[in-house]
Amino acid sequence: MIDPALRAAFAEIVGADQVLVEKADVWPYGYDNSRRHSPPDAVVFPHNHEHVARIVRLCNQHGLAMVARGRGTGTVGASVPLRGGVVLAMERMARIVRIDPENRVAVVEPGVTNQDLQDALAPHGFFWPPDPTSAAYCTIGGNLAYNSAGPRAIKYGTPRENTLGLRAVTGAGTEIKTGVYTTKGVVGYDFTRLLIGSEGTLAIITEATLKLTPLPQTKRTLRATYRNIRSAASAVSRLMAQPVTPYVLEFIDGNAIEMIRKYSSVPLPQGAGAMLILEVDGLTAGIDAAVDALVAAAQGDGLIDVVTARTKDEVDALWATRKALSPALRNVAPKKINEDVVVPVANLPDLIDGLDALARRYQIQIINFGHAGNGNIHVNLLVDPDQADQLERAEKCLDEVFSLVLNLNGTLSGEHGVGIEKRPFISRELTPETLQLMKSVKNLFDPAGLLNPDKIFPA
Amino acid sequence: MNGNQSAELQELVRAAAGAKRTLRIIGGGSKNFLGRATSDDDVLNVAGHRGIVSYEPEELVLTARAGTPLAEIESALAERGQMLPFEPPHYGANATLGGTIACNLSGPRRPFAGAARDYVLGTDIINGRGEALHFGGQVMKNVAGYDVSRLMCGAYGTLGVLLSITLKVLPRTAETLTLRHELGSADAIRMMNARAGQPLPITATAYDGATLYTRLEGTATAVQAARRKLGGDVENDPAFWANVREQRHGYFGDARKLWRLSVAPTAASLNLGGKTFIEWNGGLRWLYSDESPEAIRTAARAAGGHAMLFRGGDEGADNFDPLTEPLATLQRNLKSAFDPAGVFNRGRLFTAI
Repeated sequence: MIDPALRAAFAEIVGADQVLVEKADVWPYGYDNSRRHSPPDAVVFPHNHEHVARIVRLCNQHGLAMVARGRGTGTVGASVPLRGGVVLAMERMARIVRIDPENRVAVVEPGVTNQDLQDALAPHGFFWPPDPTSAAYCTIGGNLAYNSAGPRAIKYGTPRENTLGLRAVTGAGTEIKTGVYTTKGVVGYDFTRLLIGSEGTLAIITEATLKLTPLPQTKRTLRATYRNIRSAASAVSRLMAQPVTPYVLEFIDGNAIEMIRKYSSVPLPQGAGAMLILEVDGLTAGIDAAVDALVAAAQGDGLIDVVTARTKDEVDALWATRKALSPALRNVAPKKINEDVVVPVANLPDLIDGLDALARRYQIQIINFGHAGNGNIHVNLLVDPDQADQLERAEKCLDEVFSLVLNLNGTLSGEHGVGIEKRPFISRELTPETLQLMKSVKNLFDPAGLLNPDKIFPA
Repeated sequence: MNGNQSAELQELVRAAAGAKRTLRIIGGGSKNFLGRATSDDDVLNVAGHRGIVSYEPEELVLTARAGTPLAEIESALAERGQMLPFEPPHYGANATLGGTIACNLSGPRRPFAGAARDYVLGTDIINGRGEALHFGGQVMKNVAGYDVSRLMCGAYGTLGVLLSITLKVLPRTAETLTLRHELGSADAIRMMNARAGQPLPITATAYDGATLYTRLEGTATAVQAARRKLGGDVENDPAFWANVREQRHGYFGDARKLWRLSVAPTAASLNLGGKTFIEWNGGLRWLYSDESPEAIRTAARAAGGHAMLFRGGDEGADNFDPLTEPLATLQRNLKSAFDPAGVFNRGRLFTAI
């Protein structure tokens, strides 16, 4: 419970009804999608940049830990307030400040949801490329905090490539502006990209200037099925090495296909060991040529068939496979441990083979799918938490999954972040000197160590 | 001082830090004119630390040592039908990858494909303590820890010595065509921006004061469709964009100071004395002018951007827009985190950095 004088001080900044302290009220702000939970002592709703700056300074005066939170869709516990303290709930800083179609720029507050932004941009003929699966609910602030990109990143890049500048308050309460409005310009060191992906440990973003992309004229969907993962991985390399870059290139492994076959009525070709779903966009005049180029690149050893959808019904039918996956997974196991590892595309077969071996050794079912174009694979360990030994086996298995990924020149996380969940593993990817340097960067922005403490770095 | 191996370079840095001497990092020397002039005690030449470490065309990933000539990298990529997407200017035959990344130099394709730093996947560096550090990796998506690789881009060697760089590369486009339109400056700026807001296969724009040049790239059908839509005449000089990129175009080569202004793409003509060349859909304005630095910086700020003194003039003065507090303090402290004794390129970026 927070000191009443402190509560009054927060109320003076944001208004009494914008501060929560009762146990039942703060409870929902103590979790994210990692299923970890640790309630804060208080929840404060800033409405503008000035509020954030004053709250952060007040927390510094009183040595209170603080965590910025969007809508809690993160999967690694990065917004879970482990030390209690104050959660700055950014959901009421949800204004689209400006859409500037002439300069192809939008200025937004962090609490705007990704979908609301896309809906506001579409009438102007633009979109903002990052679109994580949770787009309907997740906030731009959260997308920036984790550098969450979603499937379109292979053609259009991640938030780091689609953000021009930020307004932010550092952990010390210093107000900064990075980047330059309307131009992709950096004066001095590039703090914009440094803050993006830092999981709210350096500063709290209060406003973002986003670079917009014109909506494509038209698009097509293709599905290619292969006998096995090796033939599919070779196809991914061929597809990426030719000049027509698809904007979506999703992958589903043989175990996932088997599961869909068991638990849904989606028709699938016989003998499929891996499947790719592609989308390509462009000018109406050039789209058939683009499809031809992709179909040609998809040809090769092990190809079973490649299908192009032209009508909306045909597109829906192709995506039905992928969409049948999540309900099927829930049928099999109540809990899934979902990791978003990345390996070079050429190493995908070794990753999938390695995961199969681990699944056999630890008797854990593992299903893999994800963004094949950039080697970003969602590895799902299916477990029943009621079986104690299964959870224990899953933990050991996960440990070896990370070693496997790093041995294949990969990284522990493509877009979910480190948060709490991957803290124990980060020192396997980064050397002590590199970690030390990152800690000193953290120290520059947050000398008192109050901003989202106990995240990213090993305990 | 020359260092060919990273261990030798580390030793040289440690020795300099120990003796409290400052080092000027140099590769091919082609970017010597960029940034502030420095008065370092010694030169650390990294040109010998060269060679492509690995190139996997199937992965679209290339790793090279910092001293590798840019030309060597580009020809290795061309052999496999690939390219550096950010189309970097060389500014000299000896240009190295390290200098290009340290200065974050990008060419005509930048507003359409991204800057040099957008294609850096990982770096190996030596910090001011002589420690070899590795950031990032070989994959496009990576959020394990802070994005330190990108901090090295545009730092002008003030944070550390780049040892090697891993880059994402892309396939070359199938078809290229450049269109010309004779236009006044206001119309040219309007047209560049109107086109940039549409899904057209444009990969470069330039305006020399009389003619707007628009480069189309993509599949043959898409390029031809866009050509019919945009109209205009075809520019037949195959070296046109290379000449713009390398500042060999007729516009360049004036005796006055050359300024580089980053402004809002739609900003109208800046009303500064001198002559202007426009690129990047209006976002980049080159300016030969005798106007005072203050007048130029003020005009750039009013147009939503900033100005850099690019060639000529007083290299001891501030070349970049001076940083204001509190950003200046944070940037100074960042420099100290990498290079506590201030060994590298002291004063190259800002007087105090």
